[in-house]
Amino acid sequence: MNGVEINWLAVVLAGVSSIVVGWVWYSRGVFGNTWARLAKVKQDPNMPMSAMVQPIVLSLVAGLVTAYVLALAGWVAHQYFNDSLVVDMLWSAAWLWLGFTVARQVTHDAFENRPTKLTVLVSASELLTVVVMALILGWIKP
Amino acid sequence: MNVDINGWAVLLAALSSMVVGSLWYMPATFGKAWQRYTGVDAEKMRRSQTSGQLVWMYGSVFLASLVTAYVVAFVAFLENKAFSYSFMVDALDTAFWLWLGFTAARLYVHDTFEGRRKKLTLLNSAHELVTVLVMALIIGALKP
Repeated sequence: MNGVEINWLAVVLAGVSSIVVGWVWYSRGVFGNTWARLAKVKQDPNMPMSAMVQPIVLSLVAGLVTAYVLALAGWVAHQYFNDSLVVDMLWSAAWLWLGFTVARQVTHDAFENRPTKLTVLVSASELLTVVVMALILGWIKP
Repeated sequence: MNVDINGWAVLLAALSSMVVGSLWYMPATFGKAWQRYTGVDAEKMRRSQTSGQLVWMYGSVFLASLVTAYVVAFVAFLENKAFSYSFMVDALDTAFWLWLGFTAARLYVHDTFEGRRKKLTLLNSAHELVTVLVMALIIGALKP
């Protein structure tokens, strides 16, 4: 067994990228208003920035966890398939997104009878998030 | 390069998720708590749904679980090639890590920004963990 090789700088950058992607995706000019309507979230335009600090920090931690797992899974796939690392990372991201993010999200949303558009919007943001992570993890090699 | 997958194991694993879900969310276990946290009125929803809608709902949920089970089997195979522990250990390890990184972490982010109850996130995440661990037990036991 070889030791798993992880580039921590890439993991950190990938984790940070997920916050940037989410920030842009859910900004009001992009899908933010649609999302708030579909998810029935009340947006408070006067909410102070300080109230956003905790959720963003915790989301960054979650993004780091996802990036670490993708780095692991991409490395494992790379040992077997030995395509270019970025290709293996992108395939890993797409399959794990499909099997562990979308498939599970669909199940929960179906039983809660949530709008299909919401499931699609959220799933698409998750795909973009992990694809950007995969590009970073594939580009900055271990 | 070939990835060996046992189709029967994938099918059984997907079926198991239906069983796990039914047990987890029935009123006697966590169903009542789930209804309280989500505001879903299961009785009312059931009455308003046509049988066609129910078939569609359970059909898509089953299909989703087949996809999840397939990905577990696929990645467990790759992990087994890289680490070569017992296939069972690799399947369980795979299921746990992918759950953490791609289900729990993502669910947490969305639930946080939607302002949903922490207990709901916990309840759903725990359900997902049990679901994929049972899948991994079946996939690990039946081997490719």
